[in-house]
Amino acid sequence: MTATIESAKLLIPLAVTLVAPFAIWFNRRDVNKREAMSFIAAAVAFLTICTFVPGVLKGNIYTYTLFTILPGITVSFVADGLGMIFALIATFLWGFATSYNVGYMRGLNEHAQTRYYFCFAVAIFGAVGVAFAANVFTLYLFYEVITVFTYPLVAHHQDAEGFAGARKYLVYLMGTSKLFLLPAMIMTYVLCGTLDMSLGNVLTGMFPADVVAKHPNLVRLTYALYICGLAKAALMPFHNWLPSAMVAPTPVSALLHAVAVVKAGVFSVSRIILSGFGVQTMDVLGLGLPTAYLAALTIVAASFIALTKDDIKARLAYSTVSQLSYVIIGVAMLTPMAVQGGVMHIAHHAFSKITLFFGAGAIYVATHLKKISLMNGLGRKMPWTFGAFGLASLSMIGMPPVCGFVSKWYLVNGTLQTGQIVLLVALLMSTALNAGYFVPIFYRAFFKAPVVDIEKYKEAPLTMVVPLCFTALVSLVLGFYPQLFQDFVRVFGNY
Amino acid sequence: MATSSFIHPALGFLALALILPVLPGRQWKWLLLLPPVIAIWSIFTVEPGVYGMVPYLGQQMIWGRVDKLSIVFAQVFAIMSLIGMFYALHVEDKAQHIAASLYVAGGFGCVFAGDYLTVFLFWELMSIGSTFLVFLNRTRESVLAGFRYFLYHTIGGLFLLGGMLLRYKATGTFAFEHILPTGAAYYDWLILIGFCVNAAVVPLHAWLPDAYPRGTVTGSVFMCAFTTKTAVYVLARGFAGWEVLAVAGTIMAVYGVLYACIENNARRILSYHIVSQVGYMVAGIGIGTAMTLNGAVAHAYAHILYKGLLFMGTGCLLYAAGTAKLDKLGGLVARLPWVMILYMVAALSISGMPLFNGFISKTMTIAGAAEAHRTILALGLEIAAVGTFISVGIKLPYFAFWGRKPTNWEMKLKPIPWNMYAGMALAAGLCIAQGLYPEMLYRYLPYHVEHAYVPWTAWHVLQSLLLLGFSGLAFYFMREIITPHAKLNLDLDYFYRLIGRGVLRLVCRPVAWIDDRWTEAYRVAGLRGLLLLAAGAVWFDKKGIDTVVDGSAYTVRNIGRAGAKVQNGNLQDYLALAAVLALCVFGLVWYFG
Amino acid sequence: MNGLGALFERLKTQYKAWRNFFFVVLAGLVGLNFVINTHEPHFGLDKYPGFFAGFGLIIGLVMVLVMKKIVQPLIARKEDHYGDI
Repeated sequence: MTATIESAKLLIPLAVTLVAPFAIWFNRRDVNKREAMSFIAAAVAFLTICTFVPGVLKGNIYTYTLFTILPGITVSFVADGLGMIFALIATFLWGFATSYNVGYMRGLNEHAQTRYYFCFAVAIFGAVGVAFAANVFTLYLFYEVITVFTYPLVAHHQDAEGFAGARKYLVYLMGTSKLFLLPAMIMTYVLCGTLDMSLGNVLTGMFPADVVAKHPNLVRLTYALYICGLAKAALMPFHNWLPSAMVAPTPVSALLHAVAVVKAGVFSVSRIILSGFGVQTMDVLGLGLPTAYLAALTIVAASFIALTKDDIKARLAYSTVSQLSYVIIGVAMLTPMAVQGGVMHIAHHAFSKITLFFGAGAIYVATHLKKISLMNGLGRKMPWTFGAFGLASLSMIGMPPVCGFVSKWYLVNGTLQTGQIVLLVALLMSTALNAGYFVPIFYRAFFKAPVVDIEKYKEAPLTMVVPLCFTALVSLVLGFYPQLFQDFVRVFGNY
Repeated sequence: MATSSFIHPALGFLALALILPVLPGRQWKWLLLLPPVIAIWSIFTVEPGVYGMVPYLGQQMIWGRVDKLSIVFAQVFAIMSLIGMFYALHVEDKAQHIAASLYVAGGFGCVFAGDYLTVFLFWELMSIGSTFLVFLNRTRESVLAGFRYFLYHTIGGLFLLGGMLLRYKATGTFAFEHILPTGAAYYDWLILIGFCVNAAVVPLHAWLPDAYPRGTVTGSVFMCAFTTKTAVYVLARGFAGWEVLAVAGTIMAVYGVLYACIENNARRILSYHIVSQVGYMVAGIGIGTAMTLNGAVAHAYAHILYKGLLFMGTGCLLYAAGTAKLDKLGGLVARLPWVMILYMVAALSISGMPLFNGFISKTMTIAGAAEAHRTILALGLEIAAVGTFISVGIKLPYFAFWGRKPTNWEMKLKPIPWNMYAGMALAAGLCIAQGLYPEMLYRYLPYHVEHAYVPWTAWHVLQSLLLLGFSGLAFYFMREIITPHAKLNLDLDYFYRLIGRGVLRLVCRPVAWIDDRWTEAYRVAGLRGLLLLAAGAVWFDKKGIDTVVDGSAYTVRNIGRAGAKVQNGNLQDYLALAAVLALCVFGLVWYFG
Repeated sequence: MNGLGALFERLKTQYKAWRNFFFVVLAGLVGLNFVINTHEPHFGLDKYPGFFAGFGLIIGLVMVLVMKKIVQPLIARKEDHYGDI
């Protein structure tokens, strides 16, 4: 049975990730000490979050209220099944991303590294905050923190392209959050009298049944505003910031846009749908299926677009747009199998996608090549990178025994539970389309004759190759033992 | 000696695939022969039963459904894997061995699978393994063919996945059992399509002649045996007696030999032949009587052996001479006599010549078809037999080894390693042995018939000799006309490629174009929209509030002016605008709520 | 070239003799067909002696003629038609 336990220990990972940027800035003179700060912070944050794992898996929910701003509006945190998934992957992958960052930034002799690591750490702070947010206000607060502090990361190169991409990034994310998310939050407060989400079960949400009965259209409008406001989830048509944000250095793309920023988006969508509205309200108002159909459209359309892109990061960006909607389609279908599939995909996709972005970055550091059509034959020079890339691609395609297959399996079973054959067809089509745009990268690298002179190239530095091989390996392990993340979802949804 | 436990043959091959990358030195080659030997021992000693329940994804998978049908297929798979590994012993490229091991493991997994989930998992494993066997040939042709192959088989696998899931939804179980043709639902048809892709049923067959000739020399030997016969197995298990298969099989049988008559590349001739021979099996399964089912199984068994030998023979030609194209070969019999002899053993087997194993299996299928009063089908199968002998039995060896040319001394021939001969000899020996002692094969046939089929009767022998002899005479008259030329004969893959290009041009590019236009919309609509709102805020401030309170009006007007500068993307401007918007929305909700 | 190869070389020079031997065998088989025949005809017609001989010959001739002279001219393209090679 779920027990709600008040625990100040929840603040520790937040404190650690809050202090980390300052520690980084403090050590800006000594680059190795500065990097060490990131590693230490990642390890400490991850381990402290792990201490909650046994309790959460038993069904306990840990909460803590920090302070109250207005009656009914507080800054509060919670650690339950859903939040733990996101917090765990964010902090776990931060450590690997730091190793990768070191290799990348030093390999290219990048400027403004302290600012970079500082903002990176704050962004993780934001991610952990989103993961542990117990009400809409806290969620909104940390959501905006992520946006603000990833802007300098996207604009890092400080060239015209960088500023243009970063400006678009900001306009999209800030614009939608101010135009839609903020009003949604306000409407929620007015309708419910509180911004606290319904924790402990996914059936009842924050909206009392009589409110839903009396003002169904206002509640529907609120929902629509939430969905439009959470553009970080890259649901079409609010997805264009993602490909444009690829002007960022690849480690930024890797962690933030494959793991933290976009995961904050789909996590928030999942949180709002499951803990904010609840399965029953969604059912009564008929909100699930339209969302699922929009997600299905995103899945297929983004894959179509990815097929036309020759720049490897652009292709990966559209693949991310497509895969994020796997999460949304799962959660929006509202059935146990679908929700499990969608939420597990938050973690499974994170590991596989970060491998792919790490790979793209490793290729760039080693060869300065960005176009797939120029990468022929490179696999012989960089076998580990492309081998890991191939394994992660299998996960995106959804082939057994890699983890992407597991989440896809639950999702397609979920479509059966809803009886929506169109959604099933969309997911199956996505498999074929993913094969269409990932396999060529692999066979070009290993089996085609080079088109540029590749003799001088060799593997990227170890600090980059080791993390990406490790995350690829984790993808494989998760395919055999999906219980790792599945148990969290089970506990969260009482399945 | 029978055992009550079961060492799944796939495990040995999976283990081999895992440890090969880390083995040092040169002696690892002998390890290649270990998993086949273990597999053979395991299959000859196992008792029928259900073994290996493995939980995964909330389902209980059955990895070891052992009964007569699966034993006979697994037995020939195991023998073929030994032959194939012998044949491939000389290959230094570890990746090819790993791919072959994964592929063979997939085949075993499918044969012993008791439920659809297991079938699907090993089906995909086979797909991956065989794709690599094509990729690893490392020519541009092979790489592109491998990609098409992978894409095509992925889509076939999706039909299987969709069908089995919908079946699960309707029936509540993934159990893989026979499906009655009457009362079959649409999801059973989806599963059938998925299986038929691998079985190369016309019109889904074009991947076979596209990919198999472009595989590696040793890889194609494995591929010719496993993918299609696994598909035959699953069809026999699940879809015996489906009328559509009887018709499709006969069409396949004739279609394959017709193309084989006009093809130039030796391995492509053999690939079309696979389509033809599998047609026999599919037709036998479709007719569904015990005799035709036995015939299909016997044919599969024999076919694996002699088709493997055929591919091995032409593989030797490819290895030695560097080409498999008949217009480039010729006059080689004096220099490669043993290759010719071993090839001819297989060629005569496939044609159904008495003394070889094709005779004891092919005629069973045709007799079974006739006994079931399917005269047209039996006729079609006889026609295919004529074409088989003409194209594979005579045309291929004639133009490869003789070709009316003097002995070709100029062509440089790489010496053929002993292990390739060993593999071929093993296969040839089995072909002859089964031909002489049909009981060797018949005792493993799974279905019970009232009166056993006896191949060695005077009439059967005479009929075969007549048919083959006069087909040979036809070849003799046509030997000028049938000369192969270096041409590509269009097949249905013309349409598959059209669909692929069509999707790219008609769907992907337009969608990307729309996305490219929409991505600029934020600048046009988004920023201008914000400007408009900001201007609206200014107006509201001037007309609305200014007239009410003078003092605070100045403050609000400043806010409005600040809002007009919003296009510079500054954060504080967004916040200010947000505050205004929040007030508006709050007001609306208060009023309407 | 080993002994077996030399054997085949010699046989090649005697190909006319082998061809005539082949014709004799064929004639003999047709003769046998009058004596040995099936009791359960599959197609009705095959109880007539020489049926399978004629079947093999005619089908073979027709097949090769139709495919090489009619069908292949329609569907043959140059080897690199798809641009794969």
